[in-house]
Amino acid sequence: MKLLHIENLSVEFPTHKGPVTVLDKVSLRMERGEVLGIVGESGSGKSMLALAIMGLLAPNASLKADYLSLNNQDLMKLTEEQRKLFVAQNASIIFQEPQTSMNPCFTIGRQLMETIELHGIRRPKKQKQRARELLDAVGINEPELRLKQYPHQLSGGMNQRVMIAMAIAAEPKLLIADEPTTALDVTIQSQIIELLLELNRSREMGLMLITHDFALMSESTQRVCVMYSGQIMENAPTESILENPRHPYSRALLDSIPHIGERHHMGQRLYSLKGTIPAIDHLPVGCRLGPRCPKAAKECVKPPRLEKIDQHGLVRCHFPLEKENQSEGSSQ
Amino acid sequence: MIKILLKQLTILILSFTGITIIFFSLAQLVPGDPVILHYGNLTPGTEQYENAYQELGLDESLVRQYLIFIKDVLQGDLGRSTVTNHSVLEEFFTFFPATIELSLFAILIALVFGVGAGVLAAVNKNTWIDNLVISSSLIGYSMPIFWWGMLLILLFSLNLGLTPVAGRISFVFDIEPVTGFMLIDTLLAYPKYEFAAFYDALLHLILPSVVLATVPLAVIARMTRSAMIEVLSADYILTAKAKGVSNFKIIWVHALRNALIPLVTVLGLQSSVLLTGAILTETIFAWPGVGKWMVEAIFRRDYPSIQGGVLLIAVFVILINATVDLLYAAINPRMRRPE
Amino acid sequence: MIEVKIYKDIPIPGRWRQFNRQFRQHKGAMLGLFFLLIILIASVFAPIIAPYDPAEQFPEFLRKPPAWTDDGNREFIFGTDDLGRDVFSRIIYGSQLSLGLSAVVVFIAAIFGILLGAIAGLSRGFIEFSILRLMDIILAVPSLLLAIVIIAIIGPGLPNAIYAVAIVLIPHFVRIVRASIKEEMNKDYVVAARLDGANKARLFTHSILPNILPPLIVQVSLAFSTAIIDIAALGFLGLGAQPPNPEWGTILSQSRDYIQLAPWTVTIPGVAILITVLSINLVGDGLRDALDPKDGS
Ligand SMILES: Nc1ncnc2c1ncn2[C@@H]1O[C@H](COP(=O)(O)OP(=O)(O)O)[C@@H](O)[C@H]1O
Ligand SMILES: [Mg+2]
Repeated sequence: MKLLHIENLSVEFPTHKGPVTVLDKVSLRMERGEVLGIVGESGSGKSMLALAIMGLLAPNASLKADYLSLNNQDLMKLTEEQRKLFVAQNASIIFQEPQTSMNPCFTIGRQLMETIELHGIRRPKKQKQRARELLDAVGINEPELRLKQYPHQLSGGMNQRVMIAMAIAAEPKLLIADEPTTALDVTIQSQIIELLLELNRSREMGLMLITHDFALMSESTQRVCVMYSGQIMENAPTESILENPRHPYSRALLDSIPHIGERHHMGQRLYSLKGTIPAIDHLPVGCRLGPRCPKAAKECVKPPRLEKIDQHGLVRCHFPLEKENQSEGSSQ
Repeated sequence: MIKILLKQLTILILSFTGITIIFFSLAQLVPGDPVILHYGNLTPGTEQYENAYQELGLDESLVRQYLIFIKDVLQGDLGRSTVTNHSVLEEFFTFFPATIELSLFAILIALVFGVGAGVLAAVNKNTWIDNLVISSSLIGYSMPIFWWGMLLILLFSLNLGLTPVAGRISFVFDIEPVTGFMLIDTLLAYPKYEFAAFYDALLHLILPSVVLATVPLAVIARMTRSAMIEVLSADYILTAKAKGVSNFKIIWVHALRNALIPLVTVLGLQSSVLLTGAILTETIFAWPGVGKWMVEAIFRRDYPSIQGGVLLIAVFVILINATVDLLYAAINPRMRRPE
Repeated sequence: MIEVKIYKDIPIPGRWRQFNRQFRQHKGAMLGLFFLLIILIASVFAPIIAPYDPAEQFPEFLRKPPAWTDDGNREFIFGTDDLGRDVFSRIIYGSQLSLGLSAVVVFIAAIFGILLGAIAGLSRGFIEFSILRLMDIILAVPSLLLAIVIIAIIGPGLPNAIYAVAIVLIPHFVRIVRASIKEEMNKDYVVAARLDGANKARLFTHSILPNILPPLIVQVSLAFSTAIIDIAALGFLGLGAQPPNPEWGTILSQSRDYIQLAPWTVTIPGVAILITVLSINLVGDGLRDALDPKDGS
């Protein structure tokens, strides 16, 4: 029973310089109730992936996929309308900025009840009842008062909780959280993540946690997909990646966080990336990380493929890092 | 809310004081004997003349004169027309409903079609629909409406014979002015003419209100379009889509509700544009409103009417702007205090 | 009530080149500029282009329809009016009045507007307050009505119409200049200049004026089109230019009585006004988009 199954999903945007590919043949799977992490620098296409799954891409974007199924339903076989309905019932999404993700002109109550109504509860009294339950479930007190308030009257963390309440109103099987804590205070961040994980456990709801912060992933996810420039660079269980990242990019991401992994006790970074993520319409030939990669060699001008590494996962690199790399670390 | 109300009230009082000062000063500039300007042809030396002289406080200081002027204005005494000898206030209010009826109808047309066109253009951004709306609103915005009115008369009234050329109603109908609003008065006269008079009044109203609506419509369409484009790219639209809200509801409820906020401000500014347009439209269509009345007063050098009329119109515009500001605060939840 | 908010960035070098490129990409603006140049040429070289004197009457050719109709005469492209005057020549000479007069109007309005706006922007308290209130009041009276009232006091006629329309246009300049100054004053480079001890007048001409130029230019284009329409409207109402002056609005009010007999004497001057105003607005849109790329669509 796959919750999410994506094969070779590509998304293109037309620009006046020709089409740009913001997602390049992305494939991934999620089991029911799984927590999957997606990491990558900003601009690597994480949000595009989320929007593509939800069918929320701008109308000028073109989406291609060999296979795209949610909750065992092949989405590519549905009409636009059917797809919209099906996705709305089976998946939800919350965004980075809780303040702007809610309509500033409507009260929290109205927006919650609108969602509830869309999922079949017609009687206003019951809608209100359900709204109160949902607010309770996400840990908001004084639900009666909150229902009457407008988004700008609540704090960021509180708004994100409301967004989560709205997202779980449909009892979705998949919740995509696109950088849900990036805009929040550090103290609030862990509370929100806790809440998401708690809901994931109690409701058997799959969670796709998107972030550019590896630290956030480490404790909460079972698998991690590392994305760069619209491609998946590495896809492996969280533990293996934390212990032994095989892709130089994953390694660099890990190394950029203090306090994770033993190698930092040396106080030096092994893999720091020079430069910035390339513009999507000016990609390097071959491996997209090439110009920034400390291990780049001649061969890297040929595009690497996503290949399986035993007892680990999938890695897109001509020269994947060795398994026992602590020795390498101490030798430098 | 109370704070906003107080602020508006202060602005209102200040503006009113300012306007009256300006008008009082202007009155000093008007050439000729102030007594004659105010009361028509009185012969100097007669008792009447002397009384009037006293009443205007002309033998006293300018400050005194201004205070007398203010007192009169506040009591609703704006003097008498030197031509008809009627009270200016009364005369203004006999013509005012015609202008209001015309303007209301025009703003209704402008709102319905302007908002509609703006939303359509925004939803179909960069398509031929969008281009059509953009270019027609640019033309509408640039339109000399006095010419536009003549053109429509030429086409619809003279060539096609579809609409009447001038006035508010054919004179075969004898409608008693109860409210001053022709559409209502013709309905009140229902037993006499059934709906015939109402239709006739409506027919008279269409062409002038279309002409008057042209510029505001263009402005509203442009404004709605850009506001909608901005709103439609907001995150909460994505949220609504993800929830499965229908496209129709997303556009006309979620997005439009937000786009209306900047629109209200534009609407306030349009009240002045509308009254300017009314002067021209009423002249072209021989529409018996305050605009036409004012222009005639100028040709007749009827200074009390000019002075009183402009004062009243200015107060009216200021009142509308204050209302719009309140409305803005009312429809924008972000203006509300955090609780 | 509405604060015109144009331009917030601290300027970067090469802005004018960027502006030039942006403006050229704006098709509508280029079209407007093209028409505007034609109208400008027509008005400057009116004596050469116009076949006849605008007042010359041809009694044997009364109300001749335009040349392209069956009854038309090739001598009179746009036909003749009820007095047998060549409509084409009158329109050409009329463009002199429309462009020339509105240029004068905008010039006067801009000078006074900038001056008052600068005073309001650089001062505080009573002076600023009274200037702003005064402008609010002027704005509260519908523009044409205000012009009419001013004319009612100083008397009808072309020069008075010019003053009247100019006065009506002043408040917009004042508001923009004041708002821009208030905004600019808080920016670092101005604060730095102030700390250097630059005096206010110098600050205004050297630091602030160059930076409020973009919104001012946009306002000039807006004022220009308003001026043309208002001058024509006053002419139409008989309060501006007086016949036989070939001012477009005045021509329209004269030909109103012949709308059925000689419709071209109504349509053609109106088209002239529309095209002129439209061109200016197109150029204005282009200017606004090019000067404030954020607002572009
Ligand atoms: N409408 C668009 N047209 C062209 N490119 C776009 C468009 N929207 C986004 N992109 C590009 O898609 C890439 C991925 O963006 P995004 O998914 O938002 O990154 P992330 O969420 O990982 O920060 C970016 O390089 C961005 O420039
Ligand atoms: Mg993102």
